[in-house]
Amino acid sequence: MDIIFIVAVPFFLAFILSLMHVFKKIIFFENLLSILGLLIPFLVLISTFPTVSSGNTISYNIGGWSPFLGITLEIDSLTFFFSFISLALLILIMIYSLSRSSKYKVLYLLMAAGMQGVLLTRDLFNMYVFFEILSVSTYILVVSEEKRSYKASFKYLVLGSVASAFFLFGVGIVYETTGFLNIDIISSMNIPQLKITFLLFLVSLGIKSGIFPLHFWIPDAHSIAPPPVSALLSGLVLKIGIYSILRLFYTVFRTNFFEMNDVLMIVGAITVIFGAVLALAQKDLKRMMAYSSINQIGIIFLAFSFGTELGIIGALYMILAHAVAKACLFLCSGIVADLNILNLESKPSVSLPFFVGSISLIGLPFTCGFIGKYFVCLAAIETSNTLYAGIILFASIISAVYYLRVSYYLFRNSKDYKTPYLMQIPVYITSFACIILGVLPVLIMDIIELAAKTLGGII
Amino acid sequence: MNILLALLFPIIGAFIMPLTKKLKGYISVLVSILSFLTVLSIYPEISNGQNIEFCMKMVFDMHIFVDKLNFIILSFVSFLNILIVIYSIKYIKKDHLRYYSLLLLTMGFTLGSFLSGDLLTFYIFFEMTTLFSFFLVMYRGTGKARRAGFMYLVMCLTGGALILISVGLVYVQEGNFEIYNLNNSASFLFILGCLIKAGAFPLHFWLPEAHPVAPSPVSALLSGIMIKIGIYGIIRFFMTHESIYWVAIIAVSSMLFGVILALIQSDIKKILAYHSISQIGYMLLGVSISSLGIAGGLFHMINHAIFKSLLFLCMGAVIYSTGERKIQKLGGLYKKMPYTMMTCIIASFAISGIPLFNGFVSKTIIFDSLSDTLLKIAFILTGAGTFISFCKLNKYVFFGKLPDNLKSTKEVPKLMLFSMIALSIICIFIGVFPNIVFKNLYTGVFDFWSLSHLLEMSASVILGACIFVFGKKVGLFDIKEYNIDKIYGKFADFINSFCKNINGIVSKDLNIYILCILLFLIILFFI
Repeated sequence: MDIIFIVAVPFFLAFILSLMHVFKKIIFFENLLSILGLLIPFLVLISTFPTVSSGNTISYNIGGWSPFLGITLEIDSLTFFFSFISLALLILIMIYSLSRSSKYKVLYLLMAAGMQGVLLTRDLFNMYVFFEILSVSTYILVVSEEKRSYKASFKYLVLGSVASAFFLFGVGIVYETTGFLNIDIISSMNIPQLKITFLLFLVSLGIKSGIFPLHFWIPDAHSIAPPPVSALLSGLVLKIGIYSILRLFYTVFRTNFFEMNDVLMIVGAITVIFGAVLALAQKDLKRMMAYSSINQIGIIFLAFSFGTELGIIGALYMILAHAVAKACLFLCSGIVADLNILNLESKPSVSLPFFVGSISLIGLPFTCGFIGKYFVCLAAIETSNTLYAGIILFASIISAVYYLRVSYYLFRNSKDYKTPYLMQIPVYITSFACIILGVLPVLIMDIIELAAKTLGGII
Repeated sequence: MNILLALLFPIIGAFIMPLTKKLKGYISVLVSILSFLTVLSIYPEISNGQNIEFCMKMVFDMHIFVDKLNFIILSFVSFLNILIVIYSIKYIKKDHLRYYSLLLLTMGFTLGSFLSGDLLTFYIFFEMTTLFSFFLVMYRGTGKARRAGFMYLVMCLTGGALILISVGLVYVQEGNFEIYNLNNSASFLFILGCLIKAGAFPLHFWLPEAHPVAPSPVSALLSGIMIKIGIYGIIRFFMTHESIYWVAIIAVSSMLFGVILALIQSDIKKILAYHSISQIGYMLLGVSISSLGIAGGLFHMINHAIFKSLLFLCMGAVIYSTGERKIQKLGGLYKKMPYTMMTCIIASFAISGIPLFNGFVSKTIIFDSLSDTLLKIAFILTGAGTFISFCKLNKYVFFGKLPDNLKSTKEVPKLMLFSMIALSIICIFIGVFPNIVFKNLYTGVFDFWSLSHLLEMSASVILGACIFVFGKKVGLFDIKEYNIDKIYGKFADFINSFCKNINGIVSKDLNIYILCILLFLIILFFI
């Protein structure tokens, strides 16, 4: 099957799902369609694995137009890595939230389509379009029954629109100066872009991924959204911003990026400290985890700012670790009764996945977070930035304090709650993945190394 | 490969805990006996001079390495584990699932850290012991316990972070996980990390908070075994090197300050915790001077594990029977708890270095390897201080007048006594036949019973006895309590309030957000 189906299937199924809602309400078909809408792309993606793992790429020109004019979709190892994580988590979170309304599922599938689109496309303007699809559907998904969620969603909408405007502006300048929109063609021209273009992209993608002075929407949106949506936001939507940064900064803006990477390291380091310190001060569980996301994003940002291959490997492993563990924690937070940290109560069977997820985020051994942290520290030491390694470890000590505090209260006040199995299964799978990926990193190391080579960090 | 079972038994045991309804304690005993037997089963190989060495393809390559040095540690540690678990059966009355699974996990990973053969493996186990023992420290769940627990967590993780940086530095420079060059920053950071875990003097403040708040068997585990991980790290990775002077300075200051701080405490478990700091000083002193000193340090490490666990178990027995932990509220228990008193006095003799008890033999070796007169004086003074402190402890707990509210005190259950008596027998056994252990640690011969050694040791005991008798007349030991380690707690409070203040500053106005975004763009443009 062509790789266009990865984007097209969820997109069309989203519309069919909304039509079904008009005609007749059949829960089973609704659930089936929404799972299929994610499962088919996942299978298509898996089928490309042999080609990708041997270092080749698969591309598809929409409408048969040549890359000079038309839109190219392409899967290489980096795209495969992100696409695999995102589809796997999308399926798990969909299973978790099957009991929600059909409006939710429609938006969810649209968002999945936008997400895959951003990952697959090699056309700058098309990337903007998919980003909009992704963002618009998340703006609505963030809204829940609570009244203050409208305010959070509005804040997210305004800041997201600022980001989109900057992105579009940047695309315009790139098109004006080079005459092309295809990323591969522009990067093969090998000319430095204007500094302002680079900064427009940095700020725009920085808002989407939540680095320090651009992070404002994250705490509100994450803490007020329904738990599965928080898991999506923190686990995936932020990572899509990081993906675009990686993709664009190592190709189109390569020269600008390596000129400025000292500054970016400082920005990353401030983000790390800021996220950790603010997370320590929070009383609300989900708000705490939102600030912890900022902390983790800072580590990822710092890691690839070193510019070395080891740094990229560290960043990619961190991305994987954070996506899996944060999704696990947010899904757990949907099962926990009271979100005030001091009054947490939960089933004992939920405390354990929460504990595993949190030690992975702290970066303790035998979890995937440790592998990421270790590589990032190695990259920092290798480029003789040992201070940054110290900052990351310092932040991880702070995060140990706030996460283990939560685990402690969860274990203390365990009671028997009834939780649907559909909600428990994704929690267990994600927490199990945290450990498996931490104990046997070889499973995924090849594709990560390949992706790091594709981007071509300096060695 | 077999030896791995030693740590796998307790860990697997911890995971099957939720499945067992009752008898959690007995299953834990079984598991720890199995782990002890696994350690013993490699004795034939080790005694032939073979080393066990292999590599696990987990996480990264984890190297397991056993030679004579850590075999002897492993066998004592796994044996102590059994006694600690047996003691817990009666001591712990509620919440068995949480207690035993955490205890077994801690024990398993502690054994793992004594098995580790390279820096990264050591780091991995080091962090895991911190994680699980943190929950054990907070087991009681009181405000004080939580505070101590978080202090413990932060300090030990800081130690871990220092070790991780040093691992990274070594890996980037050398391409493997062995320290070759002693005089670089990597080895400095590594030793510093180990010193934090060991609780040496300027970094000790978490230890007297964390060890006393934990349940007594856990205190025995922490003080007896866990802090030795730091010493083991230093010995394992720096054994072949020349003396490390700055470590010797830290060692002597830990010895003296530990004892002085112990003398001004009134909480029976806190006294013991401060003595751990002082005893850690002995081991570090041995490790930092010569190869004979290293053997002495190692020997003292094993001996300390035995008598310090015994002391904590004794004090645990006192707390179990009376419910009191301040020495001014105790007294005259010798009639009520004769066995506890006997074992406690044996342990006190051992820690003060009285001949025929195990503390004496290892202290003698360390003393013999000293050449500097100042160090010798410090050594004798510490010995005197230790003796005074334990005279005081025994006098106020077991002798004197029995308070009225303790009239109905009973001796502790037999299972608890079993652990205590077993440990005190080992104390005397090693004290009388030191060569059984020592021949595994050092290739040469050492004369334990020469007259000069006995004289040196009796000097500190007599000095201590004199000061104690004199001090009692003057009223030097009328109980006061000073807590000079509060500063660190203040610092933690400051950080906490700082975080809260920052949280207050963060604005909630959308206009300011957009202003920030634009400012960020402009600033970066002009950089």
